[in-house]
Amino acid sequence: MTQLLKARAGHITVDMEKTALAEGLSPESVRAAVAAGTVVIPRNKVRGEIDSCAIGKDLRTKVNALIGTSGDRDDQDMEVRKLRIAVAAGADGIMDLSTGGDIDGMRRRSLSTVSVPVGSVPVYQAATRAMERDGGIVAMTPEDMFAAIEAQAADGVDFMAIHCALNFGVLDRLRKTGRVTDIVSRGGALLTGWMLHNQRENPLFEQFDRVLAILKDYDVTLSLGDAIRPGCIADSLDGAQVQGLLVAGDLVRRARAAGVQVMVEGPGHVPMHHVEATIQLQKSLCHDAPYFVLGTLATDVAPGYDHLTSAVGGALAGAAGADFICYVTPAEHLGLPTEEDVHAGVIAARVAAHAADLAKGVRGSWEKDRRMAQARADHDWAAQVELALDPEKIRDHLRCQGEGGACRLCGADCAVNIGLAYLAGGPSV
Amino acid sequence: MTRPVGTLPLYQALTEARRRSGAAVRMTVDDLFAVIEKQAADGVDFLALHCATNRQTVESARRSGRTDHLVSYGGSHLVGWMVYHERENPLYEYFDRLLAICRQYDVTLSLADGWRPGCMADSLDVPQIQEMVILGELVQQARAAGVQVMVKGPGHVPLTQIRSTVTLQKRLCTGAPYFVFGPLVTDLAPGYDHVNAAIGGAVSAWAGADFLCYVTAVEHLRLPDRQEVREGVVAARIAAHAADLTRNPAAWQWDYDMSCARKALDWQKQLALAIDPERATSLRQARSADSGDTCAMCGKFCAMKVVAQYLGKEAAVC
Repeated sequence: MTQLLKARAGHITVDMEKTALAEGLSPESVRAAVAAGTVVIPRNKVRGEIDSCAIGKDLRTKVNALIGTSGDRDDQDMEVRKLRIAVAAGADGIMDLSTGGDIDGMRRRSLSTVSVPVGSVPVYQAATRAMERDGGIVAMTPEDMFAAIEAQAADGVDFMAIHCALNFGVLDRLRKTGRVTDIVSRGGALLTGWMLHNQRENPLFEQFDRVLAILKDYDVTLSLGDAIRPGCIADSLDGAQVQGLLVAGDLVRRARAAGVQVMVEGPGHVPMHHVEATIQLQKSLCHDAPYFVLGTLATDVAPGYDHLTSAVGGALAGAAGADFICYVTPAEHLGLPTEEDVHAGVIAARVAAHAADLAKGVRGSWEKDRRMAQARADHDWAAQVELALDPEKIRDHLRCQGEGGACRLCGADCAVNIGLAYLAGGPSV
Repeated sequence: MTRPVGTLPLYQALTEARRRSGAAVRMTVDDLFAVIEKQAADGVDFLALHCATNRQTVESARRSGRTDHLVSYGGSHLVGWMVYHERENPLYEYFDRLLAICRQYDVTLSLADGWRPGCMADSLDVPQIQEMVILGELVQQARAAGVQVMVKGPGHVPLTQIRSTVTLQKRLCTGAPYFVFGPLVTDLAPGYDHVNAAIGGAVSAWAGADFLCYVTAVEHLRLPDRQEVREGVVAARIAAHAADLTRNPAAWQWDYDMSCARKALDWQKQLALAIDPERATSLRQARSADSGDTCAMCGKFCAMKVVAQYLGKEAAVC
C-alpha cells in the first residue's frame, strides 16, 4: 500500500510520525492531510529509511535542489559534490536531471549519496536513449518512456516529474494564445516535438493509468510536470498555462483515486502581482494538491542573479501557499551551475521559504527569529551561529574578526548604554 | 560622482564631540547645528536626521518593552543624549532652525526613524508607530516651510506587515516619498541579507515605497568589501525593477526584449540587456563557453531550439 492508501485506511506510518514530530503536529492530523491529498511524503517503498520530507498545507515550506550531468558536462564526481553541498546547505529534497553519460549510474550514486528524497524526470533518459539509438528524440517510443519510468522507480526514485498534463488541447491553446517564449520546459519541449512530428497524442497523458500503475507499485509520488509553464513575464497566466492547470487538476483527481500521491509543478516567470492569483488558481483547480514551484522569478532581466529574482518570487509564492520551492541558481539562463552556485541557490531559496513560513505562521517559525533578535541584543554570537540559516558565514566572520566586544571609545559616558539602561527601566542620569 | 549625495550630520557631530571632550554624549546643540550647516554649505543634497525621535517616543518605548530597543546608530545616540542631558531632542525642539538651513541650500530632508524596528518581533510596535505619527506632523511643517521632505523606514518587517507599514506611512505622512532600508523579511540570514532585502524591497516598492536603500550580504557581520557593495546594489535594483513591473506597464518592455532575445538564442543581446552585463558575460563564459548557440544547462535538449523546430516558427518570432 502507498502512504496515501495507508492514510486512508487510518494507518499512521513511520513517515507520518516523523513528520508530526518535526513539524510540531499530531500524527493524526498528518495522517488526515495525507489521506486528503493536501500533504505528500515522497518515499519509494524500495528506498529504505530516509529523512522524511513532507510537503503541503500547514507544513514548513520545503526546498528542492537540482543536479545532474549533461551532454556538455559529464562529471559524476562533481555532481556528487553538488549533492552533498545542497543537502549540507539545507535542501529538503533533490532532483537528479542527468542527461549525459551513464545516467543509470549517476542516479544510483544520487540515491546512495543523500538521505533526502530523490526525484527525477524519466523522459530525459528516454529521449537521450532514443537520440543515441536512432539519432533523434522523435524516434522515442511510448515503450521507451514507460521503460524509463519503471526502471527508475525500481531503482528507488521517490518522486518523478512526468509531463502528463500536456496534450493536443493544450498545444492548440498555445498556438491560439501566441506566446513570446512558447515552451521553456525541457520535458515539455521534448514531448511537444514528439507529438507534432509523430502526430500522436502524448502517451503520458493518453496512457495515464499505466503511469499510475507503475507509481503505485513503488509508491512513487507523482509530480505533474508543468510542460506549459510560462518562460517570461509576458506569458504569465495566459490561456495556455491555465489550460494546462485545468488538465492537471483532472489528473490530480485520477491519481488520488488510484492511490498515488500527487503534487503539481508550477512556474517559472511570474510578475509579483500575478503570484497570488497563480497559487490560488492552482489550489482551486488542483484540489489543494501541494504546489511545487520553480522560483518563481520576479523579472526576466537578471541573468547571473536569478537566485535573487527567485528568492523574491519564492517568498511571495510560499506566502501565498506554495509548498515546495525549487531553487534557481545564479547560473540559470547562462549555463550549468558550479558547486558554489548550488550553495548560493539553496540558501537563497531557504531565505525565501523561511520568510514565507513567517507569513504563513508556520509553527515555530516566529520563535526562531525572536531568539535571533534576542541573541543580537545580547551580543550572543554562539546563539547567532546556532540560529543562522548558514552558520558557516558567522563562523567565518568570527574566525577573521573575533567577537569584537562592545565599543569603548566613550568610556562610562557611552550614549548608547545610557539610552539602553533608561529604556530597560533604569533611572534617568 | 553625478548622483545626489546624502549624509547623516549627527555622525560627524558625535565624533567631533568625542574627540574634543572624550564622550560623544557631550555634543552641544550648537555643535550639531554647526555641522548641519557646514554639510549643507558643502553641497550635500539630502540629509538624514532623526527629528521625530523625541521624549514622547522614548517614554512610550520604555513602557512598551521591545526585543531590540534601538538599532539605528543615530537614534541610539540621540536617545542617550536626551536621557543624559534630560533635554528634548534638539532636532525636534529646534526643527524650525533646521528647516531654515535646508531651505537656504535646498537640501532635501530625509526624516530618519530612530525607532525603526530591528527584528521581526518589533515590527509595527508602539515606538515605531508613535514616531511615525510625529514624522507625519514634521512632514507638514517641512512642506509649509518650502523644504522638500521624504521619510525613512525599516528595517526588519515580516512579509505580511509590509503593505500595512507602507500604507500607514503614506497616510500619516500625507504621501511623502518613503525611503526604506531593505527591509529584511527574516532575522535569520546573516551573510545573505542582500537576498533577504531584495525580497522585502521588492514587496515594499510594490506596496508604494519609492526609494530602496541597499543592504549588503554582510550586514550584521562587518563592513562590506567592493564585491559585496556591487552585489548589494544589483540586488536592490532587481527588487526595484520587480516592483516597477507591478506599478508601470512601460517597465515590461525590458523583460519583453530579454524574452525575445532568449527565444531567438541571441546571446549578444541577452548579455547586453542583463541588469549586470559584466557578470552575466563572465558567468556565461565560465559555465557554457563550449556550448555554441545553446547553453550547457540543457545542451542538445534546449527547449527553445526543439520547440522552434516543431511549432513551425523560426526562432526569431518577436
